[in-house]
Amino acid sequence: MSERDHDGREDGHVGGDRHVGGDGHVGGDRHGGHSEDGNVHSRDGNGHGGGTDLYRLVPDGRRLVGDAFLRGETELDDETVEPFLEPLSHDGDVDLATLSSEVRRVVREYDAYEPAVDGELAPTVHQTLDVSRRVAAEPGLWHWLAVVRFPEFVRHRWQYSSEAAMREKFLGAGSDLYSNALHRLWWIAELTHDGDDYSRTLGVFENQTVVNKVFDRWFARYEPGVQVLCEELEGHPSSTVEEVTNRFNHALTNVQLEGMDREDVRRVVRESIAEVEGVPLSQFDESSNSERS
Amino acid sequence: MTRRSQRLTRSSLPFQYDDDGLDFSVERYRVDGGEPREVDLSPHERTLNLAALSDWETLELSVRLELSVGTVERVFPETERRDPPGRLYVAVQCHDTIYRDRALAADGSTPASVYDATVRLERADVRGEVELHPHLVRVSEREGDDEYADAPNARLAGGDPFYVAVDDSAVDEPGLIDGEEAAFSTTDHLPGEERLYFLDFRNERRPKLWINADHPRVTEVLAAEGSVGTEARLRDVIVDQIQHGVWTQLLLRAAAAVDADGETEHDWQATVVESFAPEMYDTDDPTEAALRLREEARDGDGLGRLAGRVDAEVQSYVEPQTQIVKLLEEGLDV
Repeated sequence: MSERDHDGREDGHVGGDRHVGGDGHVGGDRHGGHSEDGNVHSRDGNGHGGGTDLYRLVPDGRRLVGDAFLRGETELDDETVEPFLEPLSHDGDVDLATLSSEVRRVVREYDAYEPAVDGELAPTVHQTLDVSRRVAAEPGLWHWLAVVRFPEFVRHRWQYSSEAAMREKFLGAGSDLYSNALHRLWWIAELTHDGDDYSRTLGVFENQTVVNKVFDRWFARYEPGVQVLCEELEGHPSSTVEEVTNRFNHALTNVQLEGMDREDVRRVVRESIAEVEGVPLSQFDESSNSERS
Repeated sequence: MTRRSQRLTRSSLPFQYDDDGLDFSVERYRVDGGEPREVDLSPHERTLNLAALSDWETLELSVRLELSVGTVERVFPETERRDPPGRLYVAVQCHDTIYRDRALAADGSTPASVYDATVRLERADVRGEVELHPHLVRVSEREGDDEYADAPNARLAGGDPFYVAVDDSAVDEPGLIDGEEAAFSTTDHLPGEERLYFLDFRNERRPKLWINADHPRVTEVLAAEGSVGTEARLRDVIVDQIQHGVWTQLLLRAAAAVDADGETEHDWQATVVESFAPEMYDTDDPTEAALRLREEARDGDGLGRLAGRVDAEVQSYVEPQTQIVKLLEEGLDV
C-alpha cells in the first residue's frame, strides 16, 4: 500500500496517507518536522544558488489543515506551524520576495475566484521558484507554499465548495497536476514554457477547458505532446477542446506516445480538429504557411 | 502493493501486437562520465537499485533490446519483413517528476537483431524510481486490409519494463502487502468468481491481495488514470470500498497475533498495530495500545466492542465519504 495521493491512484492501490513502508513504518512521516539543526530559518527574502529559503510541510503537518482553516475562519500562526516545517535543500534560484509581492498584487487586483489570475501568476510562480523537477516533485514544498505562505491566494482563487475539494487545493501535489493551487501553476508553466517565453502558458490559461482536459490526462506529462496540443487547441471553442482531447486520449490505445515526434502529434491533433469542426485539413497547412511568411 | 503488481493487462489491439516480443535488459551504467559498471542482477530481477549513489549529476544506462525474427514476422506483413519500417526505443518515465522521454535504438529500419541504446538521466529530472519500457512501433503509413498495423506510431511490440531506483523512497516503500489481478473463476486457490477481491493469508508473513479479473468493468475502472471525472472518482470509491475490507481484516488478524509482551511475529502485523491501536484506545503508548487490543480480541464479551472500534478507526482512516462526495460532485454532477 502506498500513499493515496501519489500518482492519482492510477494503479488501483489500496492505501492512503497512512502508507506502510518496507521499514515496517505506517503512517507516512510521523516524526516531527524540525530541521536537522533544530532551527527553522528565515522564510523571507531572496535565495540564490541554494540554501534554506524553501521549506516542506512534513506529512504530519497536514493535520493542521482543518475545515475552519480551509474556509478561512482561522489562520495558522508561526508557533503552531514551525514544528512541522523542514528546510528543503535545492540548487535553484528562488525569489520569494517577488513571488509574495506578485501574489499580493493579483489578490488585490483580481476579483475572487477569477480564473484569469492563473495566467497572470503562473509565469511568476515558475520564474521565482526556479528549481529542478526533482525539487518540485516534493509535495511538502507545495503544501508549505499553500498552507503557510499563500493561503490567502488559495482561498481567493478557489471558492470553498466542499472540504474535500478545498483540501485538494491546499494539500494536493505529486503527479496530480490539477490539485494544489500553486503546484498546478508551476507545473503547467514548466510543461509549456519555452525559455523565457511563456506565451504558450498564457494561451493555455486563457481557456480553462484546455487546463482541465489536457493537464489532467497522463499524456500531458510528455512535453512535446502537450506543447503541440496546447498550440493547436489555442483559440478553439471548449467543445472542440473536449472532443479532440478525448479522441487523442483514445488514439493512444493504439499508438505509443513517446514514439511520437512533435509533428506526429500535430498531425493527429489537426486531423481531429478538422473532423470535429468540419473544416478541411488543408486549412491548417495554409495557416502554417501564412505563419511562416 | 507495488505499482508493478497492479498493472492491468492491455485489452487486445485491432492489429498484430506482441506484448512480449522484445527482450530488454540494462547491461551497464556510468555515473558522471566515469568507468562503466556492469549490472549484475539475477535473470528475474527487474530493478536496478542505485539509491546509494549520491551527488551524481548524470547517469548513463546502456541497454540492450533483442528483436527476434519471430516478432518481426508476427507484427509486420510479409512484404515488409526484409526491411521492417519500425522505430525501436525505450520510453523513460518518472512519475514523481512528471517526466517522459525516450532513448532511440533504431529508427526507420528494424530487422531482427540485437540493438543497443543509451538512456541518459539527469539527477535534476528524476526522483524515486525511473521506469524503462521497451517499444517497437511503425514509422510509416501503409495500405492494406489485413491484420497488420498500418498507421505511424502504431504499437507493434513491447517487453518487460525495467526499473531504476534513484532514491531510497523508491526502495523503502514496497508496500505492506502484495497485490495481483487474476480471474478467480479459473484459479484454483482463489474463491468463487462472484468475489471482487480476496485477501490471501496462505503466507502469513506476507499477505496478498487478489483482485478478481472476472469483473473486467471494475478492473478497467481501477486502472483508470487521472484525478477528476466520473471514471477517476468511481475508481477512488471502489478503492475505498476494497481498502475498508482489507484494513479491517489486517487489523483483526494483527490483533489476534499480539503476544503477552505486546509484540507480533510479522512486520506487517506490527505496522498495522502501531498505526491503528494508539488511536483506537486513545493512548500515545504503542505497547499499552497493543496489549489492550490483544485483551479485547481475546475477550468474548469484548469482540463486539472491538468490531465497533475497528470499523470506526478504519472509517476514520479511509474517509469513504470524501471520495463519494467527489464522485457526486465531480463525477455524477449531482
